Amino acid sequence: MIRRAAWRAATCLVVIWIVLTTAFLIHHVLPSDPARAVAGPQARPADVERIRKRLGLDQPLRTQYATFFRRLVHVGPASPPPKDPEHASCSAWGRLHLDLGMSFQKRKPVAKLLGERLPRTALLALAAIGVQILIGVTAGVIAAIKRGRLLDHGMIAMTLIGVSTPTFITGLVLQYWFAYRWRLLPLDGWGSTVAEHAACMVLPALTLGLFGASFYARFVRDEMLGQLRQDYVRTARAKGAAGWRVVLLHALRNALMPLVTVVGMDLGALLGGAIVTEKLFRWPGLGALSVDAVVDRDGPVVMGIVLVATLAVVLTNVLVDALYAVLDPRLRSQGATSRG
Amino acid sequence: MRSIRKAAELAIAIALGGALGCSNRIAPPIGSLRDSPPERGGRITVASFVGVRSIDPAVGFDEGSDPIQRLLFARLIHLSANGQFEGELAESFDVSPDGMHLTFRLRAGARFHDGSEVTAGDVKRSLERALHPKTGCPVASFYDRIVGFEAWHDGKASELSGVQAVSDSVVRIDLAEPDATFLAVLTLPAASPVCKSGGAVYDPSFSAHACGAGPYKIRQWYEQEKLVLDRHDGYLDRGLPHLDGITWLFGVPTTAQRFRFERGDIDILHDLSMADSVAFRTAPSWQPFSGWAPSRLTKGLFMNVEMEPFNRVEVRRAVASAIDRDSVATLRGGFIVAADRMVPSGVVGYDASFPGQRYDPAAALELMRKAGFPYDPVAATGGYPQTVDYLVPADSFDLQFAEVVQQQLARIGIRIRLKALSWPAYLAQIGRRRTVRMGAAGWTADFDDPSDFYEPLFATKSIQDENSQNYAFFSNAELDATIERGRREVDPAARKAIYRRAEEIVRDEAPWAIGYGYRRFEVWQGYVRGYRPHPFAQQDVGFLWLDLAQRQAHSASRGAPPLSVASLASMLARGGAR
Repeated sequence: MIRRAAWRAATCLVVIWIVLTTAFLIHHVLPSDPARAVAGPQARPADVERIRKRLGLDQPLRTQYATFFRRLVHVGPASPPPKDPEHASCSAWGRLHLDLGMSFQKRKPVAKLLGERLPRTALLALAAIGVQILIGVTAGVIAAIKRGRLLDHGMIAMTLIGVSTPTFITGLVLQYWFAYRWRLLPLDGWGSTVAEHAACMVLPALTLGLFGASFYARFVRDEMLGQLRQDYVRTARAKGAAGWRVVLLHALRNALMPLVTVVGMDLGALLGGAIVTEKLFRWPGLGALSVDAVVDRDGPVVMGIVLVATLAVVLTNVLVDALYAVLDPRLRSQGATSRG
Repeated sequence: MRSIRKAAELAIAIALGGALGCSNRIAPPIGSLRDSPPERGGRITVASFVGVRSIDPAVGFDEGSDPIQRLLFARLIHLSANGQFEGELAESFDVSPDGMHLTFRLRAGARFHDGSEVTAGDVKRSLERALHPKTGCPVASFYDRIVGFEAWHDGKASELSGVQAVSDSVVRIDLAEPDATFLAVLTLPAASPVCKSGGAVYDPSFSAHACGAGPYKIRQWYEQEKLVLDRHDGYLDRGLPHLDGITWLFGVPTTAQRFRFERGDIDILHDLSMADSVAFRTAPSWQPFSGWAPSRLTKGLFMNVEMEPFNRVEVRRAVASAIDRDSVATLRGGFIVAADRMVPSGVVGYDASFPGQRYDPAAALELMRKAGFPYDPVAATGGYPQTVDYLVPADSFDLQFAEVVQQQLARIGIRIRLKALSWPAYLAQIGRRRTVRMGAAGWTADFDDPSDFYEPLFATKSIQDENSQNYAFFSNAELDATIERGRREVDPAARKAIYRRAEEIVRDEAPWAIGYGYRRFEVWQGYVRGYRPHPFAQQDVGFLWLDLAQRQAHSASRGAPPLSVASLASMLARGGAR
């Protein structure tokens, strides 16, 4: 067990290193100049050069690469002095420091920026996943049960709209009706109280959720139709089990197994930031930050976001695998057999 | 199959129903035009599509930061609506006859937001802070004529020797050589005095409690989302500003701005989509409450004079003559204006009487013949034998302009292939010597002086092997001498003649084919008074006032907002539901 966990952790670390290295190299071989992006497109060459030097971009690529990984996780003083330049961009947990550098544009520690933005993106991602699961699974189950009837056609129609409508259109329509016409919800923003945060989150979560729910509904419908044709369902019905029990406790449980993987992948992707939706609703999360960072060639922020997105995908995959083991008794028994 | 068709039909019906529900009718203005004296009170909310990189004047130099910095930080001098330099913190100022010594006498009683008086020492300290080597000011080199600049900016001096506090209220700036642009450069935010809490060098934490001597002070700064400002009662002009405060929202998409504006949640609409601008412009009720802000941008295309075929002046002139600027101006419903000269109408020094580059297809064909590339437009034969790559930033109006240019140049025998790149990649490539023959070009005024257009774009000294701002790699001894004279000449009439000559050289030598400018349409509510788009500054909202009676009448008639999830959640959070 310990050996397997260690092996898994090691492969995760290798994946993270490969992704970070690739992102670092791609960012540096792009034919554009981060110093120029900081100084502005019209900045004079003398100002660009001074900024390049200040940012350390005049150093050879290998030096910058080595510095990034040397500083990424390091050991330092438990409470560094406030103006200590050596640790100005570090986030410290005891003597363990995480240092992603300073944002070129915002001139703040990247770790701090991510620390502010990640919880907001995570909140939105969880809410969106909740909407996706709630609406998608419900619609998929109903469509499967009512196969070929008007309700089924209606569900397929809705999913067709959901799948083919980009989020910026869904978002605008929701803004128009719910915020502008009916004034039920804020147009956008983040708010300054918990109640405002919650109200501000509804429309972006719905925008993302409706898009994903359409996929889930079609996915669950197909899985359910497959499960409802299985022998065990027929057996359960023959034994006199109630219809809802057969559907919800037997067929749905098995139909949801593959959905766990999809949810895991979606959650990982959403934790990296929902770029369009966050911009449309002025949601101050990682998505909006990543757009600005890429456009502005803000290397440290780009690397920070890549790290978060990679971690999110890797960790949700680990979580999904663990969940599989919990949900599928066959995997547990396989594990036991292999241990035995 | 039937099931899919039924579902598709249903989907189309639902989608159409939803889309038709969203209409483009615009609400009438809130309030009406009537004479009312300036009155004190009220708050406004404004929004902008762009975000703010930094509100610290030492490092923030972009479209989003500028209007905010003008509210927070008073400068020694500023530019009036008629293009004259006038004192803001300075009660008066003198420029010595040789243009090398500038003396500013500060107004008595001007105070920072923290209550302390603005002194000459603060002016010196703030300039030193902005130009400190560790600050990273993006426009530091604009101040490189100050005596001792290099030593201070390289960290080799203990002070910026060219800026001296003669007394508490008199500050003198000495220049190493005459610089007629220096007053214009002093109107930039980087030269604004900041409170002592700003320190001797830039500190990122200063933005959260940025402290200057401008008409408004920070109440709260929700980074990248909104900024809440209150009136600074210690501002130098008695009675100004009129408003109690301003709330500024950042990163608001155009549609959301319009929704907010019609709900009365924002008072001035700054960023309009093309469709919305047409709707407002064609509604008679909005005529008195809308206007255009002039262009401070010149766009067109550059031709690399070091590369074939643009090393021949006839070809460059042919290109400049082949572009129908009026047809380009029809592309964006009024936002685009035809431009035939370098200095746009929204910059001090614009010469309306100057005859610029002209559309003349017959002359263009003749010039191509003289260059050795005769073209027969009927048979579509001849012309320049190679296809020329044209670099353009993707997802921009430059690309649309390039498509028009492509068609128009084909009529004189120049075939171009468009290469759309990301903005940073485009910028890196066009600045590399002997790499790009032709591409989109543009320049926005950094400060109000014609030299800001000619010096970086066309002076020989601006040519570099990498990151050259002189994209055309144009070198002309007469233009260099003209630019240099313009920089030193302090007499306005003489300067006008000098820059007219510079315009002539650029027009005739045609390193650029100048194409268009971009102007902005703004709309404000009927109760907003004293506001017009400023000719030289964006979103200059600091000194407007409100017809409070009209605004209150509207609020009363609108009644309480309907019950919303937000208000319900707020009530629950406060325990109000019990």
